[in-house]
Amino acid sequence: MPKRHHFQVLVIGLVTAVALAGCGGGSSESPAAGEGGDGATGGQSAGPLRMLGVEPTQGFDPSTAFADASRVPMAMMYETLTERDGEGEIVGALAESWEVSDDGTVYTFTLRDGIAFSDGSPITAADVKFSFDRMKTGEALQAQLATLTSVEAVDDTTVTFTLSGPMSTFPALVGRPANAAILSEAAVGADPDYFTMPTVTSGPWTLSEYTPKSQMTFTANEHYFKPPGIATIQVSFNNDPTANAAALESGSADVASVAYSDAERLKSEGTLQIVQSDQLAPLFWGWDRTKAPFDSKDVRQAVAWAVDREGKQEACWFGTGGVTYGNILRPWDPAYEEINTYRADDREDALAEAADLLDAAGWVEPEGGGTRVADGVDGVEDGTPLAFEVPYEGNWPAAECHVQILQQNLQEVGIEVTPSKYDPAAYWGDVSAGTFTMYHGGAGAADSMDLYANWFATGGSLTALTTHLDDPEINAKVTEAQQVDEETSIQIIKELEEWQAEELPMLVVGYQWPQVGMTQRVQNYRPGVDADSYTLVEATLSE
Amino acid sequence: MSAVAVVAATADGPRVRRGWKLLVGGGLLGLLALFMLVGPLVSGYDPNATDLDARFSGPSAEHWFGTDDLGRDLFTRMAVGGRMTMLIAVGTVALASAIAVPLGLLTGYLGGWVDLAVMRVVDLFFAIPTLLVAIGIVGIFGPSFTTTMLALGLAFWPFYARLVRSAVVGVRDLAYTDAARVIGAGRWRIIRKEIVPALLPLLIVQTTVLLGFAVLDEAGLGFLGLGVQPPDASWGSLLAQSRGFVLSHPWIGVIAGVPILLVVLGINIMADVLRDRLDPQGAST
Repeated sequence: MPKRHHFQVLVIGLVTAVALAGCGGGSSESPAAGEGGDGATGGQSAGPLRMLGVEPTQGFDPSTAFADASRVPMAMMYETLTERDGEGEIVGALAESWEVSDDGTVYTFTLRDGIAFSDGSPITAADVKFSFDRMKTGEALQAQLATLTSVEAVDDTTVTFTLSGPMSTFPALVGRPANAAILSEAAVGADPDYFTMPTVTSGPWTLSEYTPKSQMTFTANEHYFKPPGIATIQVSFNNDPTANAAALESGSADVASVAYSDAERLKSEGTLQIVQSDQLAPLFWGWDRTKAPFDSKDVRQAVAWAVDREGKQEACWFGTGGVTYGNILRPWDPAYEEINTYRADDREDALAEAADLLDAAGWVEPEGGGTRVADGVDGVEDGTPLAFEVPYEGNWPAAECHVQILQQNLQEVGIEVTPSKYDPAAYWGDVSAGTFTMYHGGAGAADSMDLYANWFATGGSLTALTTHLDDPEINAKVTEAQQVDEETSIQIIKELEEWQAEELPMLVVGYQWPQVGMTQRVQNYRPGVDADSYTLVEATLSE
Repeated sequence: MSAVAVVAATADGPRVRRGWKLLVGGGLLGLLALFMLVGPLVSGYDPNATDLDARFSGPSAEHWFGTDDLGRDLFTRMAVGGRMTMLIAVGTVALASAIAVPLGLLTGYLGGWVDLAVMRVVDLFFAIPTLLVAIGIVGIFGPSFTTTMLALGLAFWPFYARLVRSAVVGVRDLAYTDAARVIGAGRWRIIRKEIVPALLPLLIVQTTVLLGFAVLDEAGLGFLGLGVQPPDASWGSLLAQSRGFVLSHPWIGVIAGVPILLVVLGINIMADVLRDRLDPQGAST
């Protein structure tokens, strides 16, 4: 499942997560930040830092686990070649620098000197090759690495990647936290059950203890090139954001994601630190476009007009996250250009637009009002009411809120929605199987390229799960955007933004912001700049 | 869950205290019934209609119980939710009684292998907490109004069946049933004419007590998110909904919880009154 939902919950982990960004490094264009381990100079807090997080439901294999519940701890354990710094720029992590050939098809990465796994064995180019060969066949990054034709270890610290065509986003791709992990070939090869409890890892912390259904403990990796500020992190599993807030207030936890209602209260009280991050984490309505009523673009657009985006965001997310009237990308993305396809001057106008579209689609209002019925809709018997269930993940309170507001919104234009609380364990499997007429979802992406490749191009993990698109034209555009120079790539993505706003393969209405609560004991924590890049490496604990 | 024993009321039980019980219990239940029946008419709000401009408004002249996170009128939702809760409670008790009373009568009167088999099934249920049985059933069939009723009914019957069976064992060999047998009455006639009438006070009181437990367990299931599903309301689901705002808007939880307390209190008081009234030994006092 995508990084759905429980953002509040996942965030927590995300917080702990990465640390990657603090790892210094640099590219050929931008010199390493903090090279030489400046984070270690101030000394290390013994900890433990007590966190509340979710259990890694998909295990610790970076090539297959793409749910945030697993990516978060993996990002703490595994390091990547590159990463995003606090401003969102791609900088080196395990790689000190990289170069690209003139034709843009060969990337050469040079590893830092003296880097080692947690057992002290050196991280070599052979490990990088092993990791990417493995990644190419794994579910998590298979689609994005489709253009990677070969990986060669030139010497111990130099590795070359050959692509079938230019791909300007490749340095960002090899920095995908958790999934683009560099693994120890020797450790993975020696133990068939390595991923059950990976202890030889490349990231800032190592997993020292994992008790299913209870907790996991991370210990600072003494061989990591930039020792983290906190030696021990203890993550207790908990799915209840309200309980998280209470735990923070009582001082029994240091870091936890918190519910939106609690975040507002805690912010105003000022006793805890509340960190919100504007990330590319859209909330959307998915639909089955293979059959009525959503095979009709008019109906999809009618729903897009009828939903009250700001009201929903205010009610379910306490005004955080922001809304969109056409874009998927966030305003901070270079490819963002505001689209207001479904913005009306007032609600009455929006409802009138929706009503006209429904009329045009053959869903007409019966005499006396009420639920619209089919009148000449292809494949639908006349008189069939425009009514359907909208399921949502049963463990996601904000989703329940969204669906109830949707019900009220669509009722205003004669569409009858029945909210259906769904078993979370079966939810995304059934979404993938196309079981639902319309459903609620949330997911995240690292950047615009990652989003369009993963959500709308054939082979993308979210494409397979939700949009089920297999459009050669879109595939070609996405591939082209990956291969051309940055300016052209941005232009293509803008075109894709316009396309999705018009066609609505899914309806993105707003965004979820992770909200992390911290006690005053936690210091120097910097929020991440995207869904994956959180910095806990430089955080310390006051005694 | 507790059983109601058919015992003699205290000989000096003052009638005046019973009168107060009746007044308090009946008054509570009467008021709550009135609230549930006419509440939505009086408030004039649609229980599911959202008003996002009025979210979390506290109790006021406009919204007597305030509003929830979607701006829905809590007075109306509590009234409508109360109907749902009471329907579930009544349905639960009806289902449990429909299973438990015939089985209790049969096993108690017939004894032998029938008694042995049914009571072992009852023992099996006794080994699992009631709410856990209900959660299991809801887990299989999915949460809904009907499932909640079914789940609680199936969870409640074993206790009731054992109680009835014990009571039947207590009266089946009494002199008047022996007399009926001697004059040639068949077993069904004895059950219908001699045993059931003797058990009626127990059945009435126990049914009333069960009603209180059903309300509580509906709230429990609702609180766990396994009862009536949104946007429909029941007292349990409203209590569950309030949980998300227990730190920021605690009054919602209070408003959702107090009626549960009152109705269970009212039912228990009325069960007490009924026990006193129906107990043939206590009636003389």
